Amino acid sequence: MVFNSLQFLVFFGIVTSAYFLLAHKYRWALLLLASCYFYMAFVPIYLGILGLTIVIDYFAGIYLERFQGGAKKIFLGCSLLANLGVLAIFKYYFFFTDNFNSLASYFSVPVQFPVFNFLLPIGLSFHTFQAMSYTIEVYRGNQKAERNFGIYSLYVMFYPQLVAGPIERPQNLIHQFYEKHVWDTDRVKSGLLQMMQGFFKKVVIADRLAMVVDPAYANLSSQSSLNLIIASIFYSFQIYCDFSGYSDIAIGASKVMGFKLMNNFNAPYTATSIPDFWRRWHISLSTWFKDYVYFSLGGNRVSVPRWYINIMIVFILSGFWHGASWNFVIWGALHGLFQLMGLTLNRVFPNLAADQRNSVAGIWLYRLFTFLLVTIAWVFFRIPKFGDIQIYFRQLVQGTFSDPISLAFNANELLFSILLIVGLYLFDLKRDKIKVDSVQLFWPIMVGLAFLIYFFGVFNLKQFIYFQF
Amino acid sequence: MQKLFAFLVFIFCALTLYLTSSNMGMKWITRDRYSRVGAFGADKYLYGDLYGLTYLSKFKKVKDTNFVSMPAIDQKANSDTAKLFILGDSYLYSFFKEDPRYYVGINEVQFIRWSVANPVEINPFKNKKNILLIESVERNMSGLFNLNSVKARLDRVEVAQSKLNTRQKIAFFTSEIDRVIKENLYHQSLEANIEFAWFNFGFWESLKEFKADFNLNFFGRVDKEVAISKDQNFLYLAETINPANVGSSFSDISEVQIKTQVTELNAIQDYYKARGFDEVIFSIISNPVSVLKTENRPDNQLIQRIKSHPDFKGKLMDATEGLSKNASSNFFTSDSHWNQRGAKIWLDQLNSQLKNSVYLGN
Repeated sequence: MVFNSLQFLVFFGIVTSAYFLLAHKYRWALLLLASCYFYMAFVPIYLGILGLTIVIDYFAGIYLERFQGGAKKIFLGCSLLANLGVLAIFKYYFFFTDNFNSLASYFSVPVQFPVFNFLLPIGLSFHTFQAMSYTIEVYRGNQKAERNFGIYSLYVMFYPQLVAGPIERPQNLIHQFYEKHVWDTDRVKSGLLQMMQGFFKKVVIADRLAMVVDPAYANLSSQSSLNLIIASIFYSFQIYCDFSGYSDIAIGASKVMGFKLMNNFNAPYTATSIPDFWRRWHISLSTWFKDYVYFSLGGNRVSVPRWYINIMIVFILSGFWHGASWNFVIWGALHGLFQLMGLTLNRVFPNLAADQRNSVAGIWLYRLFTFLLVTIAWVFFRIPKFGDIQIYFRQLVQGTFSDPISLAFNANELLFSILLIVGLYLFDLKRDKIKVDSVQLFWPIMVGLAFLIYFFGVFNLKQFIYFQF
Repeated sequence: MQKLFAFLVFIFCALTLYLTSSNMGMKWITRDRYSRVGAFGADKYLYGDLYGLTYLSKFKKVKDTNFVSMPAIDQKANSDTAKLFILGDSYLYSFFKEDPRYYVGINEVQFIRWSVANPVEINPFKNKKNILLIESVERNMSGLFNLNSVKARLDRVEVAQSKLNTRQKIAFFTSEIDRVIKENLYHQSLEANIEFAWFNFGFWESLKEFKADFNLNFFGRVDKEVAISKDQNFLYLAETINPANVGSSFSDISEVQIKTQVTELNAIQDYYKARGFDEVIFSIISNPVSVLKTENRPDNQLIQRIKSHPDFKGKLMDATEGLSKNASSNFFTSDSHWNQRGAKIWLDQLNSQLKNSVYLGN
């Protein structure tokens, strides 16, 4: 079930109202049932796969708490193996066997693995990582093993963040299922407003920009350089609005019921460096990698070459997390390289960087440069085939500047889209000062956003980009 | 107070889900909505299905929704002669009743829709002449006119479990579970049903038209499924215009593709004749744009090329020529279908074909 659908509005209305009508002791069961219904709307049978990992992790958590030493490590290993095994089969099996078979053929090795291309369960990487964070935290002693199987299942399956995050930590979420949330009108209004912002970002901005981006990327060889520049910039904002729009709806829907999910975005395109960008983009994933991979590798408390290697490992894994395809690996590696370049420059010219960041012009220069790097990296994220990436850059450097209206838009819509992007950017710059979830202005903002969404929304039930991960 | 509010929201949403998830509920809503006029009446199909997609005020034309009137009675038609099986689409079932009196020499008709949810098993009658008419509009033809597709609608086959290997059994079993859950929990048209229930009211109409007109005049676009003809007088389904779509009248179709299609048609005919049908008639109904010729560019002549292909050994009914005479009066301007006049032209042509088939054996 996608958030930008009428089905979801009906579902949300039923679940949220029933949540407040039910006695507290039954609420977790309601949310668990609702989450199952929500997930089964995609491919029902995949609930079984999710159920299997839930059972394994539930018992792993209990045994992790009960045992010490080597046995504890074995239970952690079993849990991680089960989670990563599901990921390996459904997400990476085809990638590995296909690449292995190609290599074997190239070197005339007479070994070929059977190739199966399984249909990827929606949001597999998200809920797998959330499940893994539970067993790791229990192993580390930061979280008590959850005895209530229903509550643990709900921790993995809580519908607002089940298929595209934010990837929660057990310390933040599990205790909230035990707390009694009473109706708080201000909180309900604030949650609804955040949901409306999310809908606006998705259907007014992201899906509008997709009308230019999708056809341009689908037919790269016939695009002028200008078209590709426009499509690339639009894609940077499309994916931002698409994903942060989803997060807003997820966080808002949870807030209405009284749950507080972690923030996933913080004005990422106002970042002045790549590390700054990653502190603002998909925060729940970047902190996951930081907490569970980067620190485990030693973080920056190691020699400089080892530190650089740690950074590259984390970014390549992050790319691989997004998809079993080389283009995602390259995308991750590019971000790692950008980060290393920045670190090296800062080490060589420490004063220069600090001086420039202190001036307004310098800050804008850094913002622009960071955005440019991120946008270049998105090209690899967006285009799965190497041949097409080559075509993209060949067309880009040709320097052809045909009429951009030959994209899917006329001049008015192009201008309107640019205005939306500028508006969003200004909003992000001043987001600390602008209180869009101000409950005093609830009705004017709500009605205004509803009006804008209706009139300027592109209603095509387009799935969220991050569902595929 | 909050509890009361939550209760009202729950009742409203639960009722919406209940009604829009059941065919009975939707029938009730649809019947009730179309029985009213004005603010509480439905507007979606009243002015044509393409108006219902775009809501462009210029194309708000009241559509005649009566059935085509009966043709002149042929005396011979009263005799007990033949059964007509029709596998067809909305071009037929929206305009003709399942009534043998429409068809010359036919005293029994069975209509099977391409969109049939559960395939039916059709069996020719032993003591009658059996005619199978397979009809489709041009845009859907390539996907439908092949033996597997026809068999999937007309030859219900129970999957023999014993013949499947383990992997196939697992795949079959899991897909069955998926299907059963989906069918019982999520109505396949749920989104469209909710949209109909909540927004298909006359009082939304001016708002919808304002948005559509604004999008057209300011952004220069209409709903992506629809295109406006070059002469600005007709709405078309966009897929029939865009050459990138296989069902477009302007798509590039090679001779090899035509030959493949002809082979498929021959295979269908051979298969059903072997199953006991006396005659198989194909009918491809031209996309409106192929007949109305508003786009000032040559179309791919799909039907004519199939019909005249030397390997084609069947009967293909093509009403394009008849429809082309005074073409603009044979189609609704805001609907993807022909109007009653267009339907009648096709029916007359079918009846002359049936007259030959039933009485003269041609």
